[in-house]
Amino acid sequence: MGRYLLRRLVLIIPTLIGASLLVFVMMRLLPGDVVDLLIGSELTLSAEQRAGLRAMLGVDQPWYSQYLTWIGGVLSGDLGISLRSSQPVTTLILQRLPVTVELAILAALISWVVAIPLGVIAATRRNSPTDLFANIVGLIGLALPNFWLATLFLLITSIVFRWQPSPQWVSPFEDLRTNLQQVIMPTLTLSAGMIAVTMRMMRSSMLEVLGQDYIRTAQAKGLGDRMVLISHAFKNAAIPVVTVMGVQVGNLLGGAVIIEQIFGLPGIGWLILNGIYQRDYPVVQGGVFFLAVAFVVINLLIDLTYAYLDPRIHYG
Amino acid sequence: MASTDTGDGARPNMSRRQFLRLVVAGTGISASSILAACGSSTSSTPAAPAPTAAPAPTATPSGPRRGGSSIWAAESDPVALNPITNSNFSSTQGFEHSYESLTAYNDKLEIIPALAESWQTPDDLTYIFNLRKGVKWHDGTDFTAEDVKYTFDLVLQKDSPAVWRNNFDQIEKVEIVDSHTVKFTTKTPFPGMLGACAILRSSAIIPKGAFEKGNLDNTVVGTGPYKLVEYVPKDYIKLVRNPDYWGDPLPYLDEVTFKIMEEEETRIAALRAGTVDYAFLSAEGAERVKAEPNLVVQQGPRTYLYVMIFNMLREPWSNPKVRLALNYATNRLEIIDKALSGAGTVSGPIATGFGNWFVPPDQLLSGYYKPDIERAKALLKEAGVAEGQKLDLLVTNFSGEVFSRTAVVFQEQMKQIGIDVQIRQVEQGVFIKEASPDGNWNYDVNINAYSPRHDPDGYLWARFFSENPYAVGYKNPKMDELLKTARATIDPAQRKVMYDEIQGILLEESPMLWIAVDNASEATQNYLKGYVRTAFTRRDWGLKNSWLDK
Amino acid sequence: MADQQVGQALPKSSAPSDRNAPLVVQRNEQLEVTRRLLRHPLGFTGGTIVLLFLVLALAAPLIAPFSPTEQPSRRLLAPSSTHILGTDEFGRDILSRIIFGSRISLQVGGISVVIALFIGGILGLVAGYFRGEVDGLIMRVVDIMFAFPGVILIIALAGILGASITTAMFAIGVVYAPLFARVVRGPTLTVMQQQYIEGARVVGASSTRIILRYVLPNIAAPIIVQATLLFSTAVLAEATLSFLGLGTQPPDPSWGTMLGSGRRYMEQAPWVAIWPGVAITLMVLGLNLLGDALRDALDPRLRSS
Repeated sequence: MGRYLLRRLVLIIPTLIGASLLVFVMMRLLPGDVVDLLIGSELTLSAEQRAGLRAMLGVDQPWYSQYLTWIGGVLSGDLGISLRSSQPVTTLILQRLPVTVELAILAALISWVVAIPLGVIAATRRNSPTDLFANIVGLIGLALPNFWLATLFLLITSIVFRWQPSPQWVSPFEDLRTNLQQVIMPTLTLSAGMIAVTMRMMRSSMLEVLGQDYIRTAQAKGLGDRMVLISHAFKNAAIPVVTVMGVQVGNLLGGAVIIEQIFGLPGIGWLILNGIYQRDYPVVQGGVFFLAVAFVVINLLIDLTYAYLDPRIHYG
Repeated sequence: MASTDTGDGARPNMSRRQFLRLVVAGTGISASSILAACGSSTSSTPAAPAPTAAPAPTATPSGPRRGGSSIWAAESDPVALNPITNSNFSSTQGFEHSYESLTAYNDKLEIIPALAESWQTPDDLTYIFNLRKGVKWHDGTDFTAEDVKYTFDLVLQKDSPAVWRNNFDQIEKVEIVDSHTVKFTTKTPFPGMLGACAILRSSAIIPKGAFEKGNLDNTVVGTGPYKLVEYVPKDYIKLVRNPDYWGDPLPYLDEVTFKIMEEEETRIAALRAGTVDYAFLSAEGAERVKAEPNLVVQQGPRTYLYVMIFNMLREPWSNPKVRLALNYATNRLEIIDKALSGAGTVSGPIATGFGNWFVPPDQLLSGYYKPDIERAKALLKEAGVAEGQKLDLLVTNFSGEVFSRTAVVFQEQMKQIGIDVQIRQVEQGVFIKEASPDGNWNYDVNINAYSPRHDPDGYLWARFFSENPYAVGYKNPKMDELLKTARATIDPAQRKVMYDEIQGILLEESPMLWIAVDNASEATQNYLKGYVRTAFTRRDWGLKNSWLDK
Repeated sequence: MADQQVGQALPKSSAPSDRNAPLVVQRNEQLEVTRRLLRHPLGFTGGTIVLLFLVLALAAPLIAPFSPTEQPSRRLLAPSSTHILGTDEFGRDILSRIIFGSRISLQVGGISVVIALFIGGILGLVAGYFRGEVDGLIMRVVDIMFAFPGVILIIALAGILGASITTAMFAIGVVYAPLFARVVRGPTLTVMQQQYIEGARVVGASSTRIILRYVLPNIAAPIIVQATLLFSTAVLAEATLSFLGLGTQPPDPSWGTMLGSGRRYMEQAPWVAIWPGVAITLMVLGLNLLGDALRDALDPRLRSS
């Protein structure tokens, strides 16, 4: 176990370097830089002034020296300073982290609570009306583009119920009620798209396990309670589902951009997206780096839960 | 195509009439306002902003009350609050409550004293500003002439970080006379001086040394009615009343938070639910909330001018005949109907509604803006442009959908004269790069817009004076001469004659296709009193006069 | 990798068409799959929906009452006999735009799947076939791509390459390629451990021959299923990109663009946003039902139960 963990940890390093280089090169390939954005499309600045601004912000340096400076900072725990807002990137990320994490975890939880039982029921009653119903419910959530669903939520709550949550995000530890009001619409929207994926994964995984010899043999021999069998099968069937869950949470951290925008809850995805639009290199680099670290760590944790779920897996 | 002309003509016409009525009524930029500023060539002390007579459009017996906190929706993120280095209008909207300049605009866009109590112009090349005494910076230190000189010296450097430096390029030097008197010497007569200060573009006065010492992007030490508590990008700007404000009893509200809500759907939902007291709305948005009993919607034209800019370094757009042909094939009323949802007015080179400088819309619509496909075809033939000529139309939808919608309507219109418009919709960074000297002007036509200007010169100088880098191939010695003279002429009547001539030439040569100015709407809860919108859509005057009646 | 070990740890099924046996697809086998698919009520529905859109796309110019880009009428007209689904903010016929929009959706879905399959498939095959260091290297690249937020990658690519439908397809394809690499690699590794591969090696079959003759047929099932599902993901991704203004260029009728701009009129003119929304939902639903049914039909272990 210890050696496996060590190996996994070592492998993280090239992944992170690769991701940081990728984002670095991509940002520089994007036409325009932060000074162009600062000037905007309306202004007519002299070449001298443009050069002066580039020097002031340090974007006139060659890219490799910019990268080395940046990665050097990262190694000492400094993700750099935003070229636009002059705030440390770490601060910007930390400001948004609570919202992002809350949305991701809640959305994932809601989807799991709905999807896993639906999946299990669908599998045990295969091809029954229940199976059909579960399938359709899951798929409609997946098929509705979430920005559309979000708009619908806004219209219905504001026109029919004359209600909107308090516009300024409040931490759940400060005021749980207000906080839940604020995150209910975005999390429901986000989870709608995830239910189908988890449910179908659960269903097919469950079917696979239920179809296996030892279960069938046990059933044929009339051994044990059906519920016991199902719960036994469930534990095995959950393994691939857990993998998907990990990927889902990872994706939600950076992928909720549109929902964050519509509901005015700026998270990390939104921070990075605007960093791209503003050509704010440190923000994008720092944000992506942070997400990459989070993703890698989540996946490592998931692999470790395998060991718990399936004692036959030994890491050596 | 034919049906569009007949069916859709009515609405823009109506809004135009409505618009002109507004101009007369003085809700728009009345002719007197910008003239008044220019005309104050002799010693003048315009009336101070009578603080007791806060404008109350809905007169209430109780009168303005102090106190309370309020959440306002901001439609865009300031990105950064540095008043020197930021060109974006949303940035100005972020810092306008905290910083001030020597002059300011009131709700009618008349220039009023701010940090300068009064001023004199002993000759055409000198402005002497008498600074207000007893004004304190938000950190408690005294505001003096040193700060003014420091700010303008920073702005006037040759490689200055001040992005709106061009607004001040006629200034020669700034000198301190005494601790509360500053003297500006200009290279030529400079009629735009007072407006250039008031518009708060690279003109906000910052404390001496602040640019080097402070972090101006997210901290603010100004003299304005509100102090910045915190700015979290993309999230909110929190302001608290400045108890030492010189304009006492203004401002009324103790605390104001601008919650950034870029999505109009979100703003409308919040207005309906009553979670915000103020929001900016599009024409469609205003239509939707008009019926709400507890909301007050103020609507009117704003000086935001949509234009299409030719790349005159490229064939065949370098030929004025070709450009004029495209002008005659452009149906601006259809663009207003479809791209601006009917809420706009056609405009010539100087934005319609801008003082009395603009060409009247009726004159435009019966002249250059009257679509004439036959004439357009004939002009193209004369110029030797073949059927199927491609046109690379660069557009970004990042500052609103109007741009790409305009592109779509224009594309259909150009089909009538055999011009094959290819829309290239790009992200804003790409757009800025491609439409700049750094990107080698990579477009045939780009769609752009002019935000408010403080002087007619602002609509013309940078783009049509041939020596400027952004003229993109436009060159007319007569135009150069006229522009140079007009910007150095103090007498408004003489200037008016020159700008009329300039606009006549421009319309004939069509280096741009000027399309329209749009209408803007702002909605407030009915218990928020005292807020008055302006045609510049700045909110500084409105906020400091706002109070809660509940 | 852990998931591979999981696969091996599971008890092997003893069904006659065990996936360990070389599944050389034969004619009656295909028929069998088709038959099962047709008998699958949901699969049949899904297939019909997808087929319907396919017909719509192919016959668009014949069916659509108007050109998708012309602006024949007033803006935001409610549904009527002339415009069955109403008109949009330019006075364009919504029905015609939806019909032509199916072309764009199918094109984006199809081509981005092909791109993802091509890049990811080759990476996965090579990794699974050669194993060892090659595998390690490829899987590191895949890890990097996975660690990179997908939405952000698509948006950055669209910015770099210039927004267009081609870029959208390419960007979506590239972003989902690592997924295919993983989908392909796992089964390839399993197949490579089978005795018949060893046998083929002994008789001197080349790598290409082994891959084409033995590996590909045996890993086809998960690929087909994944491809169908990715197709729907790509349709949604295009909608999102177009919503952000980085996908299909105006005035082309993409459902995503229609939905994105129609959203503004959801209150006054709901038809502008509802119909493209229905179209996307139907298409994604159809593709997923088809994908599920394919999975059931192709997976030998699920047949008898």
